[in-house]
Amino acid sequence: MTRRLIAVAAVFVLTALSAHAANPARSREAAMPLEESASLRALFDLAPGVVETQDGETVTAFAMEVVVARIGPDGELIKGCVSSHDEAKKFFAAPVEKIERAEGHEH
Amino acid sequence: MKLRGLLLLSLLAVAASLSAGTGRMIIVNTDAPGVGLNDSTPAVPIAGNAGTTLGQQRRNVLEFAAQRWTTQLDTDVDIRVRANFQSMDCDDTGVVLAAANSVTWSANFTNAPRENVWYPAALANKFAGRDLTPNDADIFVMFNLAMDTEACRGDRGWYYGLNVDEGNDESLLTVALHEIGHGLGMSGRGIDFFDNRPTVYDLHMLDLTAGRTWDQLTPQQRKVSSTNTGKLVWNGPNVTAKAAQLLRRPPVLTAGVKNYDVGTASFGPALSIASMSGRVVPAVDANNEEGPLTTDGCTQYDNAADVAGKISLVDRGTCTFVQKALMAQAAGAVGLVIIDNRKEANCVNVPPSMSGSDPAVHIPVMSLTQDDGTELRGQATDNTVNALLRLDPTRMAGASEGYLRLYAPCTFSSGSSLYHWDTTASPNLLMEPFISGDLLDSVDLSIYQMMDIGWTQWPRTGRRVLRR
Repeated sequence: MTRRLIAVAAVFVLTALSAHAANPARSREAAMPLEESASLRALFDLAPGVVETQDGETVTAFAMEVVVARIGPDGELIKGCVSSHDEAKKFFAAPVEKIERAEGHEH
Repeated sequence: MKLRGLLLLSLLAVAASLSAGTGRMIIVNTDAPGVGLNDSTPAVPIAGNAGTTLGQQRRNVLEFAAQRWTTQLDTDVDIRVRANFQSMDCDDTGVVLAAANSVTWSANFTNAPRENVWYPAALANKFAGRDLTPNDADIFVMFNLAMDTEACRGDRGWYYGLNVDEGNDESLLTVALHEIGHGLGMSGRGIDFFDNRPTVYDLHMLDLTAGRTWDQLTPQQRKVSSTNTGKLVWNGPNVTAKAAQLLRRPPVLTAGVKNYDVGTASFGPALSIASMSGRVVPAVDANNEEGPLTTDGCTQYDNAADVAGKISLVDRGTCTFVQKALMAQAAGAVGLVIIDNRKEANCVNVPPSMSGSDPAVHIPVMSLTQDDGTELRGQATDNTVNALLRLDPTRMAGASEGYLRLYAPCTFSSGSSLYHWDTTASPNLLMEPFISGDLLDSVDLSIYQMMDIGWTQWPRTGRRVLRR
């Protein structure tokens, strides 16, 4: 029972995380803003659930940490690490100057 | 018979390994043939990475990162890291580099140190002395395959060297070390606990204003705490003890009777005790294309004679910090103070750290908050204010009341979860949210965070692990 539930949950996580794995990289001509990307949302589409086990309880799809980056005017990546879709959206939607300021770049 | 002998030898080897407490971190490659970690595209060996295919180089980096962590963690149970490369978002504005965490979290298992507390899989296994979820890995980590495509970053991409000379590329090693750190336990559920139970991380998140750890706060109190800049700290004893050794003393600028906190620059000379003193003189330069303000210090000073031998005071903005430093230096200034040109309302504002690099800069450069800078400028108008830059021996950069700060930005979420050290820490730390480019390939204070949540240091006799 436990193994099956864990396996199901693991498959769920893998499926969510790989939802767009087959797609090529979003091209530079991609129309949709990155913060609206379905695959970005899918990364955080977690549905944790407790599974009773023979030794304690186990929960899957619990949390996620994603390293994201904005591309500065000089082409350098300005990185951040977020744990929710809301944080990721803020990061990608903010003016890059604001991200740069927060990280000690000029402007 | 021969087979049985080999089997026996293997079992003995495994037993010896386990009895020595040397559980390994195993990279479980889940990529399809020819893809990602199995990419057979020829590659030239680079900086300690002898791989001759792209896939081999990627695997080497991940195994190197795994070794970095496991040579310093003591566990009898193997830690399995499920790893792959897959296409993730990338466009003109930004890119998703990697994602990771613990595959499962467990509570109330055999030998759990605390009841009703969630532990990440690898740590739960360590306490239980066995793999609680043998059918799956303990940590998952995935990296953006698109980073190495022309469409994403042009001629830039992942850097596969086993050092930190990534240049314009992005160090896979640094990102992998950071992400595995999350998987080992620098992680949690945020404000809303799952099933009203904290993670082991929450037990050490101390709000200095409330005087309580997160497991003792209500969700509403945790929400307030999550933006309590400078007052949300890690109270674990191992980090606290080591922070006192590792963190630098913060510089302070004494002008008149007041001490100002200052931000530091990634360029110019290291600040040392009493590294600079002199009168503070506001710089005046031309109002032109390179700098529309006469106070931005972006071009040659009009009052160079006044500034020579003194500390120049300019406003942030328009040109780079390095450019301002070079202009101050050309005017003969002995130091430069840059005043922040914005502030966040209703927040504790801190003087910004300043990025950039130029070996030609040889004067100390520091920043002030807008309020502090405005005050200093007001005093400096008659060029009679003396200032002394020194290190404050009573404090640590990135700590409050002796505790290492957690990242709790006041308003704007510039891209971070709570599961990071604050960006005011100096030197920069692996588990800061911005994953700075000046990191060494070490796991610095983060290894002590792991010890605070229950990992033990390898070897048990206690080897010095700081490599900075």
